[in-house]
Amino acid sequence: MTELLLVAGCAGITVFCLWVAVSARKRRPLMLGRAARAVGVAMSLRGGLVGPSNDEFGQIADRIGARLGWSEAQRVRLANTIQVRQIGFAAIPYQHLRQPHLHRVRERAPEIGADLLERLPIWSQFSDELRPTRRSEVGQLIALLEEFFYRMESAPAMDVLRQIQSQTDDRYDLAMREAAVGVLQESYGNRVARPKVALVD
Amino acid sequence: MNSFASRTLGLSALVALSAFVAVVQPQLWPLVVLGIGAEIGALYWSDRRWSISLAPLVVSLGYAHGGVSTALAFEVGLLAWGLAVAGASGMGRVGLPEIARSLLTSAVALAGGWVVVAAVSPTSLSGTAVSWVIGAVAASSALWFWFGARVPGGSWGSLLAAGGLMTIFAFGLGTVAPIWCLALLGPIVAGAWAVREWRRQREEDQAILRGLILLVQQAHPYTGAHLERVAALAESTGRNLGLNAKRAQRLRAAAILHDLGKVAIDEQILEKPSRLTDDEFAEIKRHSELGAKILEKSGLYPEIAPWILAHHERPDGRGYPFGLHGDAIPLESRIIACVDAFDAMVGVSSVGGRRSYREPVDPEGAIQEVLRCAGTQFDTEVVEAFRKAVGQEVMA
Ligand SMILES: [Fe+2]
Ligand SMILES: [Fe+2]
Repeated sequence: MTELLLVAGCAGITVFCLWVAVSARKRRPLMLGRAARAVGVAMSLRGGLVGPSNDEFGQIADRIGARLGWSEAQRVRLANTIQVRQIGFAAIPYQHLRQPHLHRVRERAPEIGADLLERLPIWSQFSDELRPTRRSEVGQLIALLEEFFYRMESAPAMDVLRQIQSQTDDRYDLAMREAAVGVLQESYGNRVARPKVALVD
Repeated sequence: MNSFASRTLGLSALVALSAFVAVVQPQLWPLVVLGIGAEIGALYWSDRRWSISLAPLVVSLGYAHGGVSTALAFEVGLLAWGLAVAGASGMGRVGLPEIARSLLTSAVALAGGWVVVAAVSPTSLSGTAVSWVIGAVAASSALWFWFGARVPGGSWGSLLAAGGLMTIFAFGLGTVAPIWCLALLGPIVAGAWAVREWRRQREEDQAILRGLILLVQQAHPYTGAHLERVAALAESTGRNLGLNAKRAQRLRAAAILHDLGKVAIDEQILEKPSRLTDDEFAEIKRHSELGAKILEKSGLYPEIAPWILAHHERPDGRGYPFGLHGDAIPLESRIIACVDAFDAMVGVSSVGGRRSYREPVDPEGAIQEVLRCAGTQFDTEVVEAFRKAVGQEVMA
C-alpha cells in the first residue's frame, strides 16, 4: 500500500513537471515569432512609404519556400527574418526614411540592421541573412523579393521578372530563382507598376 | 580545479562510496543509484542550486535506511559526483561555497526533521507517513521554485525548507524497502528539466525586452535610457500598492515598453529645443497609441497594450488620448504615468539625449512636484506608494 502510494505520487509529480517543461518549450518559439513581428510592425510604422506590407511579403515568401520544399524550420526562419529585416531603420533618421529622394540612405538599412541584430542574442542568428556575402538561401530569397518589389515600383512586373531571370551572376541560387519567378508571376504577372502606398493602418 | 581533476576526484570518490556500500550496506544500492541519477539530472538539465537542494533528500534517505555512517557516505559521494559531472559537462565548477552550503543544509535539515518528527509523533519516527511524501515533494520543490528564485536570500531559506520537508518524509520512506526510493528519480529528473526550461523562457522574455529597448535606443537615445530607469521604480511602486509578483512583473514589462511608440515618431520633434507647435504636439501624442498598436498587431504581450495606451491619461480627465477619468484608467497606467513624469523631470541621459523642453530638476524638487499634482495629474494612492518606492530606492 505504502509503495503504491509512493509510486502514484511520484508519477503524478513527474507528469506535472513534464507538462511544465513541455509547455515552456512550446511557448518559446511562439514568443520569438511575436517579438520578431513586433519589430516588423514597429519598423514599418517608422519606415513609412514602401512596397508590400510585411504580411504580404511573408505570404509570398512562404509560398516560394513551400515550392522549394523547404523544411518547417527553414520556413519559420524565413518568416522571422522577414519581420526583423528592417530593424536598421531604427538607426536611420526618421526624415531620411520618409523622403523618396533619399533612397540611398534606405539602402544602407540591411547593413546597419545586421550590425544591430548581432548585438542581440535572440536575433543574432538572423544577422548574416542581411549581409550579401554571408547570407543563406533564406537571405537570398528575401533579397530577391526586395529587388523585385523595389523595381516593380517603376516598371511592369513582367519586365522586372524577365530581367531577374536573365541575370547571369550567381546572386541567387538557380532553382530558387525559378521558383520565385514562378510564384511572383502568378501573383503579380498582370501588375503594371505598383504605386507606393502608405503602410500599416 | 580543472575538469580533469574534478572528474578524477569524483570518480575515485564514487569508487570509494560504492565499495563502502557494498561492504557495509549492500541492500542500499538503490539509494546510490538515486543519488547519482539525481545529481546527473540536476547538473545536466538544471543548475547547481537544484542539485544542492537534492542533497538533503538523499542524505536523509541514507540516514533512514542505514544510519549516520551511511548518511555521511552519501553526502561525500554526492558532492564528489557534483564535482565530476560539473567538470565533465563543462557547466562550471562546484566550489567551496556550494559544498559548505550543501553540508550545512543537510545537517540542519536532518536535525530539524528529526526534532519535528520526534515532537509531533514519537511513534511515527518509522511510521508510514506517505501522504506527507507527496505533499512534501510538491511543497518543497514549489518553495524552492518560487521562493528561491524571487525573494532575495530566499534560496537559503527554501533550501532549508526543502531539506527539512524531505527529511521528514524520509522517515516515512524509511519504512519501505530501499528499492522503492528509485521512484523519486522521476520527479527529480523531470523537475530539473522543468526548471531549466522555465528559466530559459524567463531569460528569453528578458532578451526580448532588451531587444525592443535597443530598438528605441537607436532611434532616440534619451527615451531608451528613460525606459530602463522607469522600469525598476514602477515595479517597486506596484509592489507597494500590493500587486502580486506576477502582476508586478507585467507592470515592469509595460514600464519598459511604455514609450515604444516613439520609435515611429520623428526624433527631430521629440528633441526640438524650442516650443512645439500644436501639430508637433499632436504628433508626439500619437506615441501611446502607436506603442499599443505594435503590441496588439504582433500579439506580443497583448495584455499590456491597454496600459501603454493609457499611460498619458490623467485622473482629472485632462490626459490623452481619450481623456479618461479616475478609475477608468488602468492602475498600471496610473503608476507608469507617475513614475514617467518623475523621471522626465530628473532624467539626464549620459548620451546627451536630455529631454528637450525642460532643464532637469533635482530629485527632491521632482518629488515635491509630483506630490503637488496628486489628485489632478496623478492618482493620490499611487503617489503615496511612489514616494515610498523612491525612499526605498535611495536606501538601496
Ligand atoms: Fe509617454
Ligand atoms: Fe515616458
